[in-house]
Amino acid sequence: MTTLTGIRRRSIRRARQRDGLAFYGFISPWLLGTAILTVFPLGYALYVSFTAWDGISPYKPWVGLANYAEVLTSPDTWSALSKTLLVVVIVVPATIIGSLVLAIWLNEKVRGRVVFRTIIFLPAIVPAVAAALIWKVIFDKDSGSVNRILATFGIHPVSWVTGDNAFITLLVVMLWGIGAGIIIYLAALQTVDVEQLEAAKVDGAGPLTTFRHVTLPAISPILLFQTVLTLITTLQVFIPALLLAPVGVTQTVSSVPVANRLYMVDVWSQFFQYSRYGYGSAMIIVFVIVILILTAVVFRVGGRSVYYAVDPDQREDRR
Amino acid sequence: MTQDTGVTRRTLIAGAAGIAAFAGVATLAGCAPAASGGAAGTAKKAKAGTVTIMASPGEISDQQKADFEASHPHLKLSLINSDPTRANAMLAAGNPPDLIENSGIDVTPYYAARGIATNLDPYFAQSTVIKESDILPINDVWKWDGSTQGKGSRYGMTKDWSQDSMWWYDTQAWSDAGLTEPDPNKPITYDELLDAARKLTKTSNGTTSQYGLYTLLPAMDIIEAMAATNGGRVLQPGLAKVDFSSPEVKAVLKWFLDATKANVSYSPTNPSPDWDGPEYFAGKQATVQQGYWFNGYLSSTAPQLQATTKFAAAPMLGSKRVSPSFGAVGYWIPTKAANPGGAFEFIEWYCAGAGAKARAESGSGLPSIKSYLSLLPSNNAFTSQSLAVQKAELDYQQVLPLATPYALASAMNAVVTPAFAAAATAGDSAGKLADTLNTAVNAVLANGKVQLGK
Repeated sequence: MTTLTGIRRRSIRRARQRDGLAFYGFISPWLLGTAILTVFPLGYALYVSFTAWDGISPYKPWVGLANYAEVLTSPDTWSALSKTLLVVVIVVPATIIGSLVLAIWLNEKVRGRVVFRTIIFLPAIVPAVAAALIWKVIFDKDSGSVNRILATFGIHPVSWVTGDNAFITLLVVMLWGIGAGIIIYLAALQTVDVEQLEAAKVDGAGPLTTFRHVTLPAISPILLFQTVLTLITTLQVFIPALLLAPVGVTQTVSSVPVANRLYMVDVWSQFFQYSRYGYGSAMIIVFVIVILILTAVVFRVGGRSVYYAVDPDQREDRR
Repeated sequence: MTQDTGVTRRTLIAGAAGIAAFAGVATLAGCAPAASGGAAGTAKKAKAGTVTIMASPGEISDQQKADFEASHPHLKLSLINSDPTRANAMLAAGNPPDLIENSGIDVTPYYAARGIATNLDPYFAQSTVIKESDILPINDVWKWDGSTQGKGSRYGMTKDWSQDSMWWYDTQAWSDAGLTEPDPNKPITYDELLDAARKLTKTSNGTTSQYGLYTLLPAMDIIEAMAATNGGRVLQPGLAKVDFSSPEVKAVLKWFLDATKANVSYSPTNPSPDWDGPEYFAGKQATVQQGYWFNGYLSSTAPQLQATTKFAAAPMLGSKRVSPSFGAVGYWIPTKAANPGGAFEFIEWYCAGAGAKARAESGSGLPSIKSYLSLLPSNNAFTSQSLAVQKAELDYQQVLPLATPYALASAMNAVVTPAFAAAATAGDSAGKLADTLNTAVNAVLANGKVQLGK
């Protein structure tokens, strides 16, 4: 009897080991990619952040925590971070709410909704570089469409890509693509239980009450996912800020208006303008920590409001 | 996942950390201080195969590529577009192009001090194409002896150059404004130029259809050049500090602030959508501050403007006539180039041989070789006038202290240009701007000293 039990236990253990190995075998390409393309570069950046490397010299003078001290005390860094957070505070809610409202509208059986869905989603497929350059032409002071429209009302040309106006232009460019999220929300809206919607209608609930008590809880996991994703991508915004800068023979990161000197623009300039790879790496490591903290806060705060139809803590009994 | 598999999340994370740590240690092992690349080695023979060149788009035409390969059948050229970011990455990876196009005035001390530019003295010594006596003094900008640019070993060669404080003007615009044309050979003062620009600028309902002055780009090179005409100097001896607060340099800052305020040009507060050339061709600017190379550019791009364009001597702020080059663009060979011998054969051909000859004949810049000066075009009134003015200006060419081993010009200009924009917007005085620039630029240089371990 004992022998049979022992044999059975060993057999079960071997089966589980095979399952485990199979699992890790299937995800090994991803694991390898993460190790090579994420873990190693991050580790290398961490090492470089303790040096004063210029990116091309064969030697890297060790400076210890000096770069981190400079990052944490530099007014320019705090200024860039605060501008970035301002962008986040404006763009993330506007994107989430705007996409959701558009998705709800496009979920209704309205005439021509396929055409509207296509038009609203189109900006999402325009490459970011092309979008920034097109908007720069539209906002050009002397020949742009915006100033020509304003001229018909007798308003003098406005310089949209310099000074504080550049920040408004940046927001326009970033919010132009809020239609990208409607795909996700449309899919989420299809998962809302039709019976619950009908039950709410029968109980006399109006559209807003139905949305608040039935639709919103049902799509809350998607909302949390979109919020976290939008937060992370918005924090890292760089291309529109750089490409909206005035072009000229000396087009460099330094031509980015002060209003648009976001954190990643500053990181880029440290690396490729000032050749301060060590300092730039320290900025990146600090930013990674900031992103982690903000993401954790969103999960903590948002997670309390998320409704899961199935308890994620439940596990299937496999054997 | 808590199955008893022997392979757990914990062991996997530990393994990944181990991989990263191993890779980091392996990288660290390669990071000991290297010996300086300044000492001359021996000239390596060209290897049959590819020579990879990083150059401006369109710089080396398909025809030129074919001509070089026909005359050098053992070599094939592979061209990469100039990109400072990509160049940095390739240099950092130890896999650089064989040749990189750069401004000799700007980069020589920086790259030579870091030991990543090849000392070309042995190559020049054994060259049968380039004669030492035929090399124009502009090539001295590629020399560096560890402390002074213009002396020591050669680290590159100029392909062509111009005296970049010179300027071009639209004679029709000048006449329409009721102005007497300047004497092309007698330098105008910067104040006279600004006064003329006020009259040349056409504005209506807040929209400017023509700016009288060229695009204002307050950068280290033009500031240093203007200060030199005033007997001043920005980059101090030792090349580790700048001083914008001398009276001579403050006069330059004041001129820029006044010119920006006058709104007679594109400027840091009114950025140009393009650069001088296209804006001039479109009639948006009545003047252009570019060197002799603009002669070839205008002739090939907007030949209809030849009849109404003239070349003029570099303006002066003070009483000393100085007309430097800001670029002296050419080629240098990284120490880790795969085919340095092949790269130098290209330098010989492009900077001193058939390639240089063709460019001199097109008037696209002054040649690097004395004997090619006679090939510069003079086939119509425009090219004749340009050449005459240029020849008279050659006597005033001077190598100014524009470069330092502690920072590239782009790093210093990255703080100079925004500082100007902020000062012009705030209405700051030249004195306040000078203090701001001293703090900002000296910080950049100080960081560069740390990078070199000083």
